[in-house]
Amino acid sequence: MNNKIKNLAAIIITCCMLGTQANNLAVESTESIIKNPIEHAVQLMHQANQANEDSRQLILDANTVRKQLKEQRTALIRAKNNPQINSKESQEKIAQLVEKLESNQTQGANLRQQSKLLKQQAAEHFEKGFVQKWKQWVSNTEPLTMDDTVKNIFAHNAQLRSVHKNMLEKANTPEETISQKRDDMSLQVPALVEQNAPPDLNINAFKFSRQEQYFAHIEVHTDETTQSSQSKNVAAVPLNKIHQWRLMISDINGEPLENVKIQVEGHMPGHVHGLPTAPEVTQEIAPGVYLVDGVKFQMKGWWVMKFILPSDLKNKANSVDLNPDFFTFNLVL
Amino acid sequence: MEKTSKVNKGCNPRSITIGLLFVLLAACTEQNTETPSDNQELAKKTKTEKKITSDTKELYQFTDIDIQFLEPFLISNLGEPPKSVSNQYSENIDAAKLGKKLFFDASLSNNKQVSCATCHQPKRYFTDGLAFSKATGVTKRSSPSVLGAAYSPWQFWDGRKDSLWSQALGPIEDHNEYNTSRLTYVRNFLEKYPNEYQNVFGDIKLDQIAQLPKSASPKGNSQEIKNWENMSKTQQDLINQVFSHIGKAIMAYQRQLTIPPSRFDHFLEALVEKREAELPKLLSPQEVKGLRLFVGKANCASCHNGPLFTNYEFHNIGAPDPIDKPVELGRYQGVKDLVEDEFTCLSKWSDASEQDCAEMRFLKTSGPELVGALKTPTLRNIAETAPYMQMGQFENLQQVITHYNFPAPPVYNREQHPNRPHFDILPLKLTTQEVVELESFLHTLTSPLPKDDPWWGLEKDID
Repeated sequence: MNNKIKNLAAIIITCCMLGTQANNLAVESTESIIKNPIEHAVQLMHQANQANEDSRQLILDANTVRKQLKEQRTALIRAKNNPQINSKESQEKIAQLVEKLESNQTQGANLRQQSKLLKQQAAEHFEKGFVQKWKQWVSNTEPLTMDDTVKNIFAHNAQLRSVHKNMLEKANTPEETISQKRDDMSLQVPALVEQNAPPDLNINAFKFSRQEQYFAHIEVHTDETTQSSQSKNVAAVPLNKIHQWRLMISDINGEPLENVKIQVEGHMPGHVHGLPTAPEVTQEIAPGVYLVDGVKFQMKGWWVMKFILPSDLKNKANSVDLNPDFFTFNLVL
Repeated sequence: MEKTSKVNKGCNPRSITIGLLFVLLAACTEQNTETPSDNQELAKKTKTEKKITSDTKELYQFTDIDIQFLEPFLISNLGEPPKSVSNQYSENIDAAKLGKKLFFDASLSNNKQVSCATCHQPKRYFTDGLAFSKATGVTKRSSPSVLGAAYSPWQFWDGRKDSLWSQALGPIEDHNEYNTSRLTYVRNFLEKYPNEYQNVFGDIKLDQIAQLPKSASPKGNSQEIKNWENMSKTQQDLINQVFSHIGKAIMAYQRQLTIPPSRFDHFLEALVEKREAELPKLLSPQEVKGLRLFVGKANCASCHNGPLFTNYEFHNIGAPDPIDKPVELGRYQGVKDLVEDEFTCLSKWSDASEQDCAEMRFLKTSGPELVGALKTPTLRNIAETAPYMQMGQFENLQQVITHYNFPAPPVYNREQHPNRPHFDILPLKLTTQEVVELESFLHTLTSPLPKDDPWWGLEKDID
């Protein structure tokens, strides 16, 4: 009986999934006539979340099936030892469960993948709408980088905290971290840049917040007084020089998030160290446009910048969330 | 594939037998006569020599990208020191000349025997060769060279000062160094250098200073502190004004110190200018091997880079704490001191607007990586500036390299450390031969003493 209900649920979920897919296809074909990309992005986000939830359900369900399968298999072993019990029924059940498990797993994985794709699309559409709406402030849509003219390609190796002496024997030598022997170099330089940054890392300068309630964009802020000393490349951050960023934050409807205190953090994942300075949001230069001052990077490589929103910021359900929402931007400088 | 199979075909039992016969024959000949054996030795020797020459040749071959990579290390790429926002006199030559006099003037110290040059001796590349510097007393650390200091955003091993002018004021009041009070030093200075002072900084209110007690300082002994506290705010400001000007003159002087090119620079210049034939005359094969290790396997260049061989950052490399001393808190203590300091960029005595003091405004005051972290020192003239590390823990370069080769992480002292100290180095696992090579490279960073450069103040040493 229980199994029947579960099968039914699986069928319903599959239908939902197909429905979402159909919906998705429809979306893609009508992309050119989307009037409000932000609204559309929100819809896509809902679908993504639905697909994710469905996927979660399927996986949970699969876990139950796995348990049943285990029970059946134990029963089968018992049956083999006891000729009086008919093992055929058990075998049939096992076959059914295996089929269901496989189907749940495949569907779950598909839905998860689909959810990921939908989120990606949502971010793309939101970015489009955001750029339209915040035209005055967005001068760069590319991921941030470091100026190409910067020759300093060193990054030190700070991979360890105080550890037992024996640990060091297990550590790699710098020679072993030489990423690749280059044909154009006879010097074998370890600790070359971009170490540890995964190849599929999202380095976009536009991001949804962790709880997907807000959307933000970062770029290097240059005003007339600092322009001359900074690179002409608007996406480039300077090396070893304190500079400013603009952090623009909108809510899920594309409206500026005003008058909030934002905490700034940053670190290098491959190096166990933080930023060399303590940057701060010093000013809100326009509604939702925050000036982040004191930003400095002392080396090239993979950096993570985190902007934490106040924990008393009301979420969509209008309840106070104790886990503050935040934005994480990856930079490969 | 075809070629391989042909070779295999040729390897038939018959040819093996013939081969064996030859070997046996050769062995017999070797036993019976001497001449062929000598020939073989000779051949072997020539072969080895040939190998060495070709290896050496390869050693001196650098690709364009290699050269591009190494070029930033050239001393000629150093340029001018970064603009000082907090010292408007930093480029003033008269201020620098006054600063030079002060740098070498022992008469202004308590025992009339201590000057900046006591611990920063020009002939020792502005160091003193001691583990703990000696002035009127013994200091807490080994004095670093002042060469290149103008390029660093932070001064002292732990970066507890944010400018050279503010740094220069520290030793004057330190009871182990000049051991003098702020007021005493200012008064004696003004009496000795009134014209020089006036020429750069304007009027002196000597009459007002005359009324003040003999000695006073917010950092001195209890009597001096009491005297300082009894002074009016205007009087204190008057003294602080001159005091900060003194620091600014010393800074202006230190900014004039330049580092002549070393053998390494001449080698690199020749590389850049494609004068390949000259290369073996400039650095020996051992030194070039050392250079390759320095930027390669030994990973020194990851922190010791640029024309001054430093990244001006703070790292904990775990130089062992002497047993009888408190643990090294490094930058963790440095930032605490900075926040309290009277003479930072943000202070009344700075010539910068608050807006321009970005390093202080956004000073990082917390983080596990601050604990025990010390400023990367320059490696320029390193072979001449032993002992090494902040307390001279290592007597020679070999000991330093051995530490990097098999480092022991800092010991976590739960009573003294605010958190587990960060540790920034990995064992290099260099061979004995490689250690020798690396050390020999470090010797190529020694510049000749510029006897004709008046800023270096080597005149006395020549006499």
